[in-house]
Amino acid sequence: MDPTPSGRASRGVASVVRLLMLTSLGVAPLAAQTPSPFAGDPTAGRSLFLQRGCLHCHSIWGSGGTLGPDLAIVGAGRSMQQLAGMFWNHTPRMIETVRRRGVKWPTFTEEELANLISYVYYVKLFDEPGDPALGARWFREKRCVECHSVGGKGEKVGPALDQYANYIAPIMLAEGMWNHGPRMQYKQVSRGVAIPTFAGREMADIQAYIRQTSSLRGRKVRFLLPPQPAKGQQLFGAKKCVRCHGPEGRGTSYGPDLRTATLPLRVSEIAGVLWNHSFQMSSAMQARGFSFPRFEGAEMADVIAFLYYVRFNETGGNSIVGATLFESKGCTQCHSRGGEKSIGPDLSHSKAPPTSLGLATAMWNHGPAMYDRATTRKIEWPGFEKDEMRDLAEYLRDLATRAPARKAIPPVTSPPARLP
Amino acid sequence: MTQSRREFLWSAGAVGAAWALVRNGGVQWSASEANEPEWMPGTEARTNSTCLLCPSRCGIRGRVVDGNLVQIAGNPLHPMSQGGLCPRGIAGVQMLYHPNRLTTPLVRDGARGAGHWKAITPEGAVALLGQRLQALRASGRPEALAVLAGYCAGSMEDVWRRFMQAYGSPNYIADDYNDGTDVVMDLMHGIPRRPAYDLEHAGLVLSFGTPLFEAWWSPLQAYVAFGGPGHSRGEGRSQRLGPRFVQIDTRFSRTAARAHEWVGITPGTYGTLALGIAYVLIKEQLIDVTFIAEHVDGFEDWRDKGGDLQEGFRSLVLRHYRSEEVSAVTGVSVERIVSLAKSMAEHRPAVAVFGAEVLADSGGLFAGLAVQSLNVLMGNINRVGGLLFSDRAPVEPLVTASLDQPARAGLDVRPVAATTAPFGGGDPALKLAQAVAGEGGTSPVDVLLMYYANPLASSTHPEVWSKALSHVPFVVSFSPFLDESARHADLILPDLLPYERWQDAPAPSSYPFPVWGIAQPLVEPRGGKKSGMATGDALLALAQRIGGTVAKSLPYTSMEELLKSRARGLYASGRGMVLGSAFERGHSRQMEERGWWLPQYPEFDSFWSDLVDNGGWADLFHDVTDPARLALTPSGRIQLMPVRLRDALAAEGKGRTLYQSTKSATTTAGTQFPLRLIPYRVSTLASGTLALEPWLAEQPTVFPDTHWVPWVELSPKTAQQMGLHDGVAVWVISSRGRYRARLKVFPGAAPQNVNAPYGLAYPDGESANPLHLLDEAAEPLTSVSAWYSTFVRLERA
Repeated sequence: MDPTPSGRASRGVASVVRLLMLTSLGVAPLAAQTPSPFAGDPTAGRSLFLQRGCLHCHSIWGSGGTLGPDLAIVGAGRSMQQLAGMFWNHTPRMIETVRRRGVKWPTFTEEELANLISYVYYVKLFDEPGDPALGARWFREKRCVECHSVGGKGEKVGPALDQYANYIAPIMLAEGMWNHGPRMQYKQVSRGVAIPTFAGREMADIQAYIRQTSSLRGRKVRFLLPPQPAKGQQLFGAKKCVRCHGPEGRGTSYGPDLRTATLPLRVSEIAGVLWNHSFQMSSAMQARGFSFPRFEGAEMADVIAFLYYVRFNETGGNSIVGATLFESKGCTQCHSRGGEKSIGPDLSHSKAPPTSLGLATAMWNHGPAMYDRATTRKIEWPGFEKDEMRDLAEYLRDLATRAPARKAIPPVTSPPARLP
Repeated sequence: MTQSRREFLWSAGAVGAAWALVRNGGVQWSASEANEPEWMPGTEARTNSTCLLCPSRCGIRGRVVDGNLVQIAGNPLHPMSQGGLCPRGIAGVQMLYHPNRLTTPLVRDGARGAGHWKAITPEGAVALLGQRLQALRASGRPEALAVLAGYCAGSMEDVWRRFMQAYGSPNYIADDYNDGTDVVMDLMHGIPRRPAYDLEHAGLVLSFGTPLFEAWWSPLQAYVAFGGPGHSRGEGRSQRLGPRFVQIDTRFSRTAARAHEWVGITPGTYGTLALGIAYVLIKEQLIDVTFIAEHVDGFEDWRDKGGDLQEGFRSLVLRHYRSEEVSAVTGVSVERIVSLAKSMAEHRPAVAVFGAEVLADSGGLFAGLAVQSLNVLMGNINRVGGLLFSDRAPVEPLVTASLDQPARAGLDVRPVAATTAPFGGGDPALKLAQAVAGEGGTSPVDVLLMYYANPLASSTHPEVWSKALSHVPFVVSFSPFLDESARHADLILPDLLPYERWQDAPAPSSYPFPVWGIAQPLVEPRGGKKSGMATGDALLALAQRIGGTVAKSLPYTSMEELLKSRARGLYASGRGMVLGSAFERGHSRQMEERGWWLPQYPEFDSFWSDLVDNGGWADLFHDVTDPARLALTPSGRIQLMPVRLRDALAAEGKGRTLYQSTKSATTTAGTQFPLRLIPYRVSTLASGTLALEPWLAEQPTVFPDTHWVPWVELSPKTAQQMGLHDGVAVWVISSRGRYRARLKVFPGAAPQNVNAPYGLAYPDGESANPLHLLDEAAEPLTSVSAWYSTFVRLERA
């Protein structure tokens, strides 16, 4: 990344161009009013994870170092701002460790940190394979077996499910269920069978059961390409989901805010949530005269990835809470806000604060210096939990907006170009 | 200016050295040359490639300085070898620069075998061979061309087979470590392939004589599984200590020395011990009952179509393999048998590993089935940590073959080495030799091409081969050394060494995952670009010279181009990865286990470039849920009492029943020859043709601490009884012949055996080959030569 002002300016132009492209592609104008939900490129983040030596201490799914925590585990269910807060909280221990080992403190540009965090966020999307024994139980208890067969076991009201043994991820099964949902649910209602619902990893378990039990011969596992949230966003518009859920899934008077349902979930779990509401949804759509959306290929995975990313870049922090945090976390011991002399920079004039990611980047890069000062002055290292980082950023943004003559860094709004 | 103490000492020393030079006069330091303006530092490069010296196909990294290969190390990106390399791979440098190496083609100049040769160009050699083959084809006898090829799995084997197919000969004869395990898998599982073992994730590895750390398919696979980078001394949560390892062996081998437990056993009784362990497993109800119920036939008694009760595996074992009886036959105590069975149950997944040491014996097929039955009883087939049937790398197939009428006619002729064994391919090389050496007729082979085959050294019947070679009108060797068989050739077109040529290198069958290693030139051919030609390139050139449909069937200008075209299949497969770091391997595998694949390259050329740079491609996913990987028998179930074998035994009419001949050692000692000969391969000299590099001669086997000269091992007790002491020269004598060796008194030898390493030779060429002493016994059902049924005596030389 080019850290020069001209580089930043060109990225700003690029962001505008991307925004224009999105608008021209039919994504609702509302998208232009709020930052894109998916800052950062997870592929680039994966490369950074290797190149900057993160893997010497940290692992992803158990691969990598063991000194620090597995980021795929501890990072699960956190937004970008929460992940940034987690990184920050962990800074003192990491500083001590890297110094003990003689390793240089890794620094990041704002874009790089966005990429790295995006990678940690993204890997959580992928389910571990389910448990076939549990899957057998769900298949029976949810009465799937009364209509479908696997490996010759089960009824033949609906199609046999053996062919899904070619897949490991349950998304194709979920997509098949979705596409046939209205018809299937109509039959279930007419037969007096309760429409099954799925929670947690139950859908992944059923997929594992199908793979283990299927009598499909000559099977060849087909791996799916990682879902693309940017494509999912387009599909979300193209499939007219926006008419009820809004352009970013934040809900309208017709449909709920999807953010609440997606953040801590993985592909199969989100698919389960969608299925659980599909009957109600299809009825509502029918009432409004809309056709039920169908998916092809792995489109559903893309839409799910989009929904997953909806809460990645949380906006709308609370400036008042941020002001309180600035005091309570002891920031005032080093930083001033109005031109007074202080140990650290005057944050009302800092280049970093316009975005929460910019704040996180600045804090991370200056972590060792801050740590030394804090240690010398015996100041307790401030920790940030939940949305505190977001609120603090909002407060500093307000400060910066009020402060004269400062140059803003445009926020990173580009969708992930490539995926890991 | 300030000067540190260190700087002061250094300058003082330098001044003193310079003064001494001036005083002595005339001595030139290389350092003074370095200061001359025209002096330039050497260029250094490290390039990844793949070792081709044994079937393991480990990743290597060559260090090249000024165009010279100065070091071969392991490539850490290779998933199987993970940066490790055996002494043989390291010593490849000495092979490359060996003074006896042939760097240019030679044509016989005088009587065959007289040792007079004339150097010709590679193009001249291809032209000479091309003329010969064109004439043979024109005479209407394309089937009279035969190829005897050593292990060359991958594109070289494909190119050879394609060449023979397009030319019109069915006589491609593979002499490539056939160990008979494919027959066991075929009979029991309906899958006629050598199995893979997921050693790394096993809880217990129970090896039946398999030399995992010596001359197995991949010693590096074993090293990584038992102590590779993934294992530690308990530092981290994701690290493990590796599986428990028990070696059952007739000698205290190097492999046995690395095991947690060594179980000494009477030769030829591996099968009996396996069924003895099965007895305890069944009796103690330690078997996987669910797996057997769902996937296995033949465990319980059953009634055949005629209503007669047939004895199932359970009844057979419980009736005939009681621990006391098994102990008496095998020499393994009852307590140890029970302990082995319980250990299998306690350390799940437990996998039983076996190979030629079990199967290359009279009754070897039954013994192999017996050992495999343990994997079945434990339900450890196609499971993590178990026995698997691995996939092949999804490379692009060669272009479709074009066959003209002569080719079709030639292919219809019965192959010269067609097996007559009831099961498996038998010993096709011996069949070929016997057919050619036959009395009273014309040789069915007019041109014989030997590719990484040296039958005069590796065959148990060198005299048959000697006669056969004398019967073939035109013999060609592609050996880069003047080995025993090449000496009898009419033309030698020496292959380039692996560090000078392009070749692909699939991981061996023992490895559970498809790996497509790539070997690329690290240095220019030793004699210069024009002097030598890689055999792959020579074959492609030969096809073009012959022309017509042969040329159309192999339309590639070079092996490099051919390999690049094959890599397109990998690129398009939507799976796997270019070789990468441990983290990247883990990430790729885990993504695939979750059902997703990470595309890394936007277009093929960057994929190919990285593949070559990193040393290959791998896919570390294995589908453990696919029932087709358990059995492809007509019933889709594993057959513990294989139907085809039972039918064959019934047709024999000799009253033999399944597993019966595992019950005892089939041959016994006599007074004239009181000691059983136990030939074994030494890891560094596994093929018997590489006793060339000093590093290897220095440490062929660290364990008995004997170097440079051929030796045999005898127990101290037996040596004392015979009045022999350590280091004396002895003759090893069997009914077929004798050879001279140094005696090594070794406590790891059983009192009734003589352990004899294979692959050693005296510097002056005197033979010391235990295979030439073997009796002519063979496994009756597979025709695999029996290595362990020969008895010898020792006499002071």
